[in-house]
Amino acid sequence: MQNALAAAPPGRRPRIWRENALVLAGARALAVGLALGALEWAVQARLISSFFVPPPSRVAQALAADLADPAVWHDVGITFRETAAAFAVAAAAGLALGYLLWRYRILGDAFDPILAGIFSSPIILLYPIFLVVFGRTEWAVIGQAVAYGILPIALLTRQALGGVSPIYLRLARSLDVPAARIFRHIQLPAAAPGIFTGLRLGLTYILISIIAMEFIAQIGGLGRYVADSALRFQTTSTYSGIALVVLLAVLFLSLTDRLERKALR
Amino acid sequence: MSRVAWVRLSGIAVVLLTWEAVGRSGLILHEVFPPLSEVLRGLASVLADATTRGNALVTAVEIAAGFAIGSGAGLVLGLLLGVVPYADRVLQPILYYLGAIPKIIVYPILILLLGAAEGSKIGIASLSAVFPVAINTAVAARQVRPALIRAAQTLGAQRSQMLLKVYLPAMAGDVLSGLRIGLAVATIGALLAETSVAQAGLGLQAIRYYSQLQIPEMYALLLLVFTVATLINAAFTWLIARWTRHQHGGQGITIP
Repeated sequence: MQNALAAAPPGRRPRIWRENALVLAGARALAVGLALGALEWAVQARLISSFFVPPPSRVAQALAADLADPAVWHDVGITFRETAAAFAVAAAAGLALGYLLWRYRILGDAFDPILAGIFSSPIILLYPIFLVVFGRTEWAVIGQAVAYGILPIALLTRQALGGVSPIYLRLARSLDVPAARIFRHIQLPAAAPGIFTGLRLGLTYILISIIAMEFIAQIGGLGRYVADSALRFQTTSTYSGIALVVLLAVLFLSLTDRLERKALR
Repeated sequence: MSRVAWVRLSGIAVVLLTWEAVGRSGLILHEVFPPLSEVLRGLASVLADATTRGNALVTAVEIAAGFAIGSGAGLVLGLLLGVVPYADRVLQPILYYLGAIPKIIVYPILILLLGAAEGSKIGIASLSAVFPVAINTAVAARQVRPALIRAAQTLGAQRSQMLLKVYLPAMAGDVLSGLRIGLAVATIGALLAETSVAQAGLGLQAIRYYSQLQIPEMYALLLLVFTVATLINAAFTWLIARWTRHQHGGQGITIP
């Protein structure tokens, strides 16, 4: 009985109609449109005060105006640069650290739980230290982001490399494949999905710490732009600044996804 | 002592001794980098400070309330998406992107809507928690093995039995992973918000130490916060391991 159940074919609900990517994208756009439309209606009907929540149409106009403003592009550029730099450094260091923790098992067993513990605590609160060490510069923002982003990348790289099925490796070894080729052609491809999960997680935390630091300490790019607008009660530009942050985050995430799809093909 | 424990302890010892040595050497500005011994003295004065307990209570209430609201909403949303596959196909990428956006950026709006006191921190905490919980719950609901469902149906399980005896145990591990991440990001959100605009809380206390250049006290307070956060996280991890010990292939999902 038990075995018969376990051997049952993996259940897939029968497809009644072919899923169309275009239809799906349309449905997604419709969902977003409906949400924004409902908000617009609620503000126009004065269910929500337009002082707190400007109607989306007005935010869209402000966003268009912002996108024509070189000063805003300057801020976008700063945040973009910080994110790209922090991600590059954190990815390189995190991958190397994760590799070391996997390669030297005793190091991994000893320090993996500690790194996981550090990662699970809100170390983003250390930002004042980076402000004192680097001054109120982009370097402080990048330094904090790197410190945060390394951890998930290293942890998931080690986990992914360690999780590769030993059957593959044993087979390769019994076929006398050299160790370097085993790593390149078996270990790495098998671990790639997990490594990319780590990179994506690292990027998320890098974005959080960059935007948070810009916003709270009012340094540099888009975070400062939003904080400035909010301080001056320019609600509409606060919202358009937030929209810009959202767009930038989505841009970085979709770039990572694209890279992942390319690498895993 | 096992070799692993030995390597771990000596690693920790090296870090702490380096900290003490660099702190004393004056290589880095003493104000920025006080030696460990001073931080430990700072810890005593933080613990003796009458305001610490009040601030800790405020922060705990903010995190607890925000986590309760956010994870409750996340569970409902996740279950809905898990039960309605098409809604999941449409909304999942949107949730995924929204979840990855730094929530602190909507803080000015929350201050306008909910005020500068506890309300806006609860708002940030719940906004942070809702996405990981919803995403993990939806994934968990979709991953319940059809063989289990069919077996229970064949054996004539009722709706409530299906829910309690099939879905709940099969989903528990992933849902708990979501809750663990949700609590962690709710904590980050509330504390960060406190360092920005607040009237009370540990985040405010830390930033106050910083602006008054009581750096050892600031480090001590942060160490205290980190320790508590790590312990809570470890408790969650232990709980997940207990719940999933009979399952095969049930892995926690680490996507935020």
